[in-house]
Amino acid sequence: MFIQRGYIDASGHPRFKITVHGPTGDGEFDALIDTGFTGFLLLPELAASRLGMVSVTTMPFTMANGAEEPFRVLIGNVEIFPNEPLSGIVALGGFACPLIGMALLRKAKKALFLDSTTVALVNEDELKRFVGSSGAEP
Amino acid sequence: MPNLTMLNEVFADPAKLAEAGERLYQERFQHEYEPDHKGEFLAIDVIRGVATLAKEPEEALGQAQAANPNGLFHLLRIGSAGACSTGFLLSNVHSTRLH
Repeated sequence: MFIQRGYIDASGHPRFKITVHGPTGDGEFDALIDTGFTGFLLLPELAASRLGMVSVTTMPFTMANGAEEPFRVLIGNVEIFPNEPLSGIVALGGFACPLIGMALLRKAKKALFLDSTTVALVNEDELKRFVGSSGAEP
Repeated sequence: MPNLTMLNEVFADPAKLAEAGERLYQERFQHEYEPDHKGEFLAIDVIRGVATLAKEPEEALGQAQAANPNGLFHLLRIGSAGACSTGFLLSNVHSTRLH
């Protein structure tokens, strides 16, 4: 089973190293996994501009308080497993570090393993052999 | 050619572009797409007033940008207020605030 290990930061959040490929360069980041975020990836605006990533597109997000807010977005290329590039919608904004959303894990077909001291991503198909698959809640 | 005034406004405040895209959606595309394409994605070129439909957001935006590399776009999920939802980690983030 191929495993990508992350780490638990001082605040208790699971983090993984990712590489974002931009038009003018690549950037490595320690990104947080946010299971409440249904999108692909959120990237700090300043980091994106350093990689030459410029957006001329907006997309509405539903915030945790129910409010709707437009974010600048673009199509970005990201690696969370080495040599497994993924393309998806990257949102830009004024936050401190990148956030990995559930759409990225779904697209990568990775499952999140988390206990009190360990965080890892494993191939979804392999994990299903152990825990079985279940559908969405009715 | 893109509308340069709008292009400047987009860099300053994405809400301007989003408002233009939402207005176009309600006036021209909602009636056409909402009955049969709920959950799919629409990239609206607010300069040309045309829309590109696809199952995935990057697919809709990629096709729309290929059709008009100079376009300004609003990407939305048909039948949903927000194309995606954020968790509480983003509670204090504002998309138009530059740091």
